[in-house]
Amino acid sequence: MNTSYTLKLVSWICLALVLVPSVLAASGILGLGSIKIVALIGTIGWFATTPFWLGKDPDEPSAQ
Amino acid sequence: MSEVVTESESTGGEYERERVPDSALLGAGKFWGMYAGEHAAGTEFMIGPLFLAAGASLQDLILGLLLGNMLAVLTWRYLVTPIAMAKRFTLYYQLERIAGGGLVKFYNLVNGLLFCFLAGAMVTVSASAVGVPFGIFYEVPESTFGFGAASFTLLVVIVGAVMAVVAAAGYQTVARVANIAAPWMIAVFAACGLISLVQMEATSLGALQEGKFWNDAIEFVQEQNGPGAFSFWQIVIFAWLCNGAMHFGMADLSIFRFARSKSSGWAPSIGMFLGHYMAWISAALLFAALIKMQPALAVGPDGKATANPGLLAFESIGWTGILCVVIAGWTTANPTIYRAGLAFQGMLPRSPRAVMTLIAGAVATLAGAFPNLSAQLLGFVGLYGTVLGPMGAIIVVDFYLMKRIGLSDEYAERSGSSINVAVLLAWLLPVGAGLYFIFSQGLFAAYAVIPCWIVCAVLYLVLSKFTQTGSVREVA
Repeated sequence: MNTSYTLKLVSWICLALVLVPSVLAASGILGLGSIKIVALIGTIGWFATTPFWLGKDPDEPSAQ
Repeated sequence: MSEVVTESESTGGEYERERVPDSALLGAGKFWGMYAGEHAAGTEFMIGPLFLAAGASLQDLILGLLLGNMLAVLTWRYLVTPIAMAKRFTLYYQLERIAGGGLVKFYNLVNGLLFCFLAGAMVTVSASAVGVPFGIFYEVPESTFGFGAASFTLLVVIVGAVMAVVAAAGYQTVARVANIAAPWMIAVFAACGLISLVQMEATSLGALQEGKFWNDAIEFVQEQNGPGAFSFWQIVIFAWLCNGAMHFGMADLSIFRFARSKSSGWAPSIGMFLGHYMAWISAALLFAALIKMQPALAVGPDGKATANPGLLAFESIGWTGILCVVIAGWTTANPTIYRAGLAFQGMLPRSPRAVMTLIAGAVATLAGAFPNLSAQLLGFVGLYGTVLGPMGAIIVVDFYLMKRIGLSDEYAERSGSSINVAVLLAWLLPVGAGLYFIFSQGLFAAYAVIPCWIVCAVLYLVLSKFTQTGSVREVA
């Protein structure tokens, strides 16, 4: 698994951390208690990883 | 509501005075990506709650926004895209060929000033979020041109100055941050809406259909602010025409001139249904949730219910919400200030772009210091479409009708004139009448866009009959 693929995977997992807990809360599966912290972790992760691949030329070497 | 700035325009441009060549055309995917990001702006946090504050019912909001946004997408697809692909010119160059360079300079000035006021609302929204951790709150004074609290005004000046300096330094960095932030902002908007529903215990289908949480919020607002109503058709027309300058006004010719296929004209649908549907409804739900959970925070010191975008987002999703409001405001205010600077530079071509951008930033910051302007955003964007939209009618008539009735298209270019009097009068007369009805008779601003557009089209045809005299030359 190369670095670029890993970064993308981490980014999308982080984005899911922003949205999915609220979906689970709306479904009654999760309480609201920890949503703010989880969303902040997801936000930090998204901005820490996405600049390395989003909008980069596919032929350009990614961060290794 | 947001501004769309193409890379070519923003960077000073390529193909500004020529057809875009086939080798530079772009696939539909580029347009979908761009519109997805550009319409999730900081002002969505302001506009959504304004619907609730104005008294719109939840059912009207859901159906009205659906219809209005569909009409907006159809306008982009069937009015803007065909002309953009046939001509492949920027709005400004096409207008110059029809109306003359002198008139385009005047249009640029008006456009630049309106951009500054729009950017000002974004500065206000961002400052409202920056202020939350410091206990500095957004308050709306009675007077339209009244300042808020001194601490908030100072915050607006700081935020506005930072935005202006960044915009003057260049566009590329902000564009890159905007691209990176776009998917995250959309996720945050959606999360805010869902969390608000959970907070109001309105997650079941029955609760949503009953809409008691919404009606209670409207009742609360109207107890504080007095009665009000916002009808289904006001919502439809607002959603359709809030970007009237972009589609009816043809500003997005500058974007779609790069389109390889007409299917690109459907791309605004992603911006409309994420930014102007989901995000507006989510933002309105934030306000309803704040009213239910902490009603005291929804009331300003003047005793009126006021939506503070930063506070709404913070109460829902914490620091992520604050960041979202700041970044959404910053990434959309910057290109708007930048574009206003370019418009001002069009007036004084020898002036440095950075200086013009700083002037635009200063005007935007001043506008941002008047919180009432952003609180009246529903009216302002209608005004924006009323003033700039009719220029699109000129382009439509010139493209489809002038030759058919035996008149010259692109008359300024063919006659060598710097001001086409037919365009000047056809633009100013209906816009003047529209502004009269808006300011003196209290007409809802968005209602004036289409009548002004139609009258402008008819006047341009009639006046051209009288003003097109003498020989004209062939143009490329």
